[in-house]
Amino acid sequence: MVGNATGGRRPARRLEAVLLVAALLAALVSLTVGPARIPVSDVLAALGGGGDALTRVIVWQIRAPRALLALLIGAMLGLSGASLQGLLRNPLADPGVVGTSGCAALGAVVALYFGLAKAFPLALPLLAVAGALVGLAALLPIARRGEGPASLILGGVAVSAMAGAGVALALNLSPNPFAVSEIAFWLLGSLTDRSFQHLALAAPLIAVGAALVLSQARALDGLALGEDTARSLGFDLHRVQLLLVCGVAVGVGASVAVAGAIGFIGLVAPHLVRWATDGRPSQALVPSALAGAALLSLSDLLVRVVPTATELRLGVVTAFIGAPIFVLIPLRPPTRAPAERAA
Amino acid sequence: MSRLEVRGLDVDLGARPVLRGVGFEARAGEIVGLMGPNGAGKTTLVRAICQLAPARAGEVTWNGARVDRMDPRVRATSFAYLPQGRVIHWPLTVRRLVELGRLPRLGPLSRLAPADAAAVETAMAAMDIAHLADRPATSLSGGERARVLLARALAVEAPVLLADEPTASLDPYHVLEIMTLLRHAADGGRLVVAVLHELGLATRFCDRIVLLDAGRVVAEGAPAEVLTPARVREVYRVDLGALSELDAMRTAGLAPRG
Repeated sequence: MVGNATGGRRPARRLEAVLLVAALLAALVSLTVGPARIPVSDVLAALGGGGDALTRVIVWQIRAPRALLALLIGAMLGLSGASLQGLLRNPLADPGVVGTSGCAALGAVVALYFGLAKAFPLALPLLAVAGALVGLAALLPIARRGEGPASLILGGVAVSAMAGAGVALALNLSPNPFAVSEIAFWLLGSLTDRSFQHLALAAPLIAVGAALVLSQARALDGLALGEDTARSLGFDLHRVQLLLVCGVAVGVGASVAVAGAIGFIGLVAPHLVRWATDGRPSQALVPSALAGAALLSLSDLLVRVVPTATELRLGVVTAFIGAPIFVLIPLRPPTRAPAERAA
Repeated sequence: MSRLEVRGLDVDLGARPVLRGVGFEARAGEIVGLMGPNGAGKTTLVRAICQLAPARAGEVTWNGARVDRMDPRVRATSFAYLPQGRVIHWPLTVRRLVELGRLPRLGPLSRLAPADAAAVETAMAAMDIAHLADRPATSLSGGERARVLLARALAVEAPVLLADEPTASLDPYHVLEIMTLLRHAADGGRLVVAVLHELGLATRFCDRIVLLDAGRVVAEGAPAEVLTPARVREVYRVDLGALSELDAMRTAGLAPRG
């Protein structure tokens, strides 16, 4: 019995370890990449507090926040995707579904459009977080009205559409092409030149968001047999939905605020790891977060390594990596059955 | 003796009245069959008993305690609910699926205790699904799936089992198997309330029948008293002669086992 209980978890543990190593490795490698060509040995020395002062500044003040943000934001996106897919019982759900990404982007666009971002650099991420919270406030009354995932999805679509319209309006009314391209480029996502200030803003919000999402893991398992069964098992689904959506909004809102709208990570990460789990949605959360962290770190590495005339944007790379993965997923057998493999 | 009492229950779904003044009593150790034509309100009654459907009037009590005022955790461990439809959204392994029945007893961070594991083993053994433990539940046949989901409900170890059409779309062998397993559950001290459609089956396995029609209780009592030819003709709009022949054909040559 005990052997069976642990046997089902082994592939998941192994996958978690692989993803963790991959994410940390990508983050470490990213510390060695940048416009200033610094040898790996000097980077390692700077990490340890040695080396010359300039190298230390570059590694600690410029590259380290960027690497940490890629890990944190990737993890939040992966975690959000897995939890929303569990909540909505829909493999196509991603953090964009609840409209937070769109609203956070609108907040950032407002900061860019009115020039607030130039006057006060943190105005952009702060307004983006505010946008995410406004979107959440608009979504919750809609989502609470009905039973089931449909009202949440419809509310999310409505909120997203409004945010999209707001962004389009800003592009439409932009006084000059430079303002248009500034907004358009920001929307494609980037982690370039993010500082510890950005990290200090995003990390606590991501921590709160992730904690809220993880606190509802058990309810996702109950929902595997439908809403009535979950409720009969004692879960208050309104409360579950409220806490989970708030967690996603806070965490993803902070992510978008710092990095821009980055697609596909939240959608793809759960699918990359689900095969190794025992099928319970709760068991996909942590591996999916690790996969998200690895994917985004890798993408942010590619942004810097691939030589292009104009800087390659993060959202573009994640889409190019994510879309093929998404196409390949249906081609793989869904879940491993140990008993069948043994037979 | 543990007792379920339903009194004067009115339930609306949206603006539509579904149950009106429904009342019945049941005791631990019984199988109570909820019967009646489609749309009579059987599913709504089962859902209202465990508070999945809010009642507009009336009350449900278990051992004298109002079910709607119970602590959600107490309610979740008092009533196990097996919905119709057998929906499984993710390919959980059978063991993990049965373990879901222990969720009401787990704290947010605690793992399954030995008592939980024992309950899961007992439920799986009772449903004869131990050999399926590591299979994804979504890959099972209809009969296996029915047994696995029933094992999930039994793993709750609730004194009341509410089963909505536990035998729907199963072949005669598996119908008898499920009913026999429900009989064992009742003999073990549970109250089983099951929505059933087969009249012969209900007569054979149920201690009492609650017959619903258009949201009201038409009759309540021993199967032979409730399912009289006249009443069946009135409620189901079919002739019992033809029906019992059909039932007899379905269960021909299949004596109850065990």
